[in-house]
Amino acid sequence: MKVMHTKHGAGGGSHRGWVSAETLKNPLPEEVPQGQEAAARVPILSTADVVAARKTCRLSAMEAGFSDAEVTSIVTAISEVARNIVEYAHSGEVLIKKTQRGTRRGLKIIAADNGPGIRDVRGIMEPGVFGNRGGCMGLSRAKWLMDTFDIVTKPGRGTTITMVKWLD
Amino acid sequence: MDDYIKQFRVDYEAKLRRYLESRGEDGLEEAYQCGRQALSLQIGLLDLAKAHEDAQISLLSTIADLSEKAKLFHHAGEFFREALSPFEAVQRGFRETGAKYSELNQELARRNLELAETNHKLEVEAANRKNTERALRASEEHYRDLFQEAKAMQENLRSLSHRVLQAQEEERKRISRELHDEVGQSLTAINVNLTVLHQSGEFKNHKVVKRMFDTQQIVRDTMDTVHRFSKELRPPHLDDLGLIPALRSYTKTFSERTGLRVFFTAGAGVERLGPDEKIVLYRAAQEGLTNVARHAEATQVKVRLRNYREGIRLEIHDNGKSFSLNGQEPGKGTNRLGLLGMQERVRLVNGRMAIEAEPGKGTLLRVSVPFKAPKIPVPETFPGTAREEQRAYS
Repeated sequence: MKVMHTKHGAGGGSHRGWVSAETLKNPLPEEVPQGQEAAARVPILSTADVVAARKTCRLSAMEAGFSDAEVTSIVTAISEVARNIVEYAHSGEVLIKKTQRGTRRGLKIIAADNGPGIRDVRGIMEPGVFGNRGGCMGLSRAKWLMDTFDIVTKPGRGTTITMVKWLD
Repeated sequence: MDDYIKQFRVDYEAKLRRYLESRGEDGLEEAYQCGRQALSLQIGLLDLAKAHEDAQISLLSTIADLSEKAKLFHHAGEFFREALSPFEAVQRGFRETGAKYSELNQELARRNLELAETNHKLEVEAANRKNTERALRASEEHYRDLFQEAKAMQENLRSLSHRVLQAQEEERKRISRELHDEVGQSLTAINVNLTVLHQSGEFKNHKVVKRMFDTQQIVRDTMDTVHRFSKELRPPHLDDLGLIPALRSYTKTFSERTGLRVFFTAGAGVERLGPDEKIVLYRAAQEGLTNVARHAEATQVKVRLRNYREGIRLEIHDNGKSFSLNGQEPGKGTNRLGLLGMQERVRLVNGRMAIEAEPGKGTLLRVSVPFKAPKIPVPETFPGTAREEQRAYS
């Protein structure tokens, strides 16, 4: 199941609500754009890797020109998705790269794992659901801290989260 | 202060100290974990701020070097920001949810407005319907009143025509008696006197004798005419002997007078009819035969009195031209008044009248009269009954 949530209407205008799409084919896409700006790839296996991902992300975000507060937001978001991998999938990776759409520049984070997937992704991502639900709650926090949030998941077939924070 | 908050503050200070010493990403990750923990323990933002302030004072108050102090303050701020970021996320979530709720609320308000509008329209519609209903009911009542009036008038008319017909019968009876008793007796007396004079032999002049003889003949003819007229006005047999002898006598006379062959048959039970019904049938036969003689150009006519389940039916069937052949319709032309009068009489005894005319098969007049005539029926609902009556008599 593919679920997309866009907060600031990146590209396609205000895109509120959820969009389901086709079956997840490759939960670990080889997102290494050759010849373009290099993407930073951090494998996630333990809590120590979460710290590594944060550090890489922080550097990329600062380099991209985000403010201190925005950097903190982005780093927190990557913490949430990385912790989610450690907690539920046990192994996976995050990818951090600069992105551009038209004149808009931003930072894109992709988190992918081969874990159990999420059964009721709609239920846990629905705004208005609050409460201590561990990693699930963490995912909606990540969504709120970023500008776009896109999750593709299927029970038994892993999860891929793509999120973007735009400059200005 | 609650124990878990105390514990949180102790942890926070320890983690902040570690970060200020190492200043690594792992320290910041711990700050973020502090924020998450605060959220899940439901420690408020102000408590978190207070924990940070106290930890900062505790850790930095002993440092004398100002530039070192400023640097540490800056790093403490970094730590604090990381700890706050989960709260930031939740606040944004609330904001977004709030926006969604207000959107939903606006939608709800819009729907409510539409509903109110629809409700209003429905109310107006209901009021309109009620008015229409009231008007309908009023006009219905009006028409019911009119109908009642018409019905009353119809009843009045019927009882009036009943009385007129009764008076006519009485008058005819009286005239008939006068003719028979007075005029008839006088004529008989004149005839007797003439015979006596004739037989006395006093008159020798054969011219006078011839004149007397002629006069006697005229008197006899006049007596016949008077008797016939009297009989036609009020058949004496009808009251004394009954309908069958009266009609047999009438048809015999009719046949002699017109030359038409009349076949008369009658069933048993005819005399069970009341006097009113008998007169109606007798008059109907009279009128019907007169019409045959006048218009049908027939050579023979069958007159039948038959029993049917509820009464007696009179049938007069001629072999002449039918109405459609001679261009006359029932209720029109010269015999219109006669037919109308017959219809009225039949109706008064609750009977029915019908005329069948088929080219080449002559005309059949049918008059049915029930035995026990109840009171003249009053139609309950005017359209149905009116139609029925039209069918019955046209």
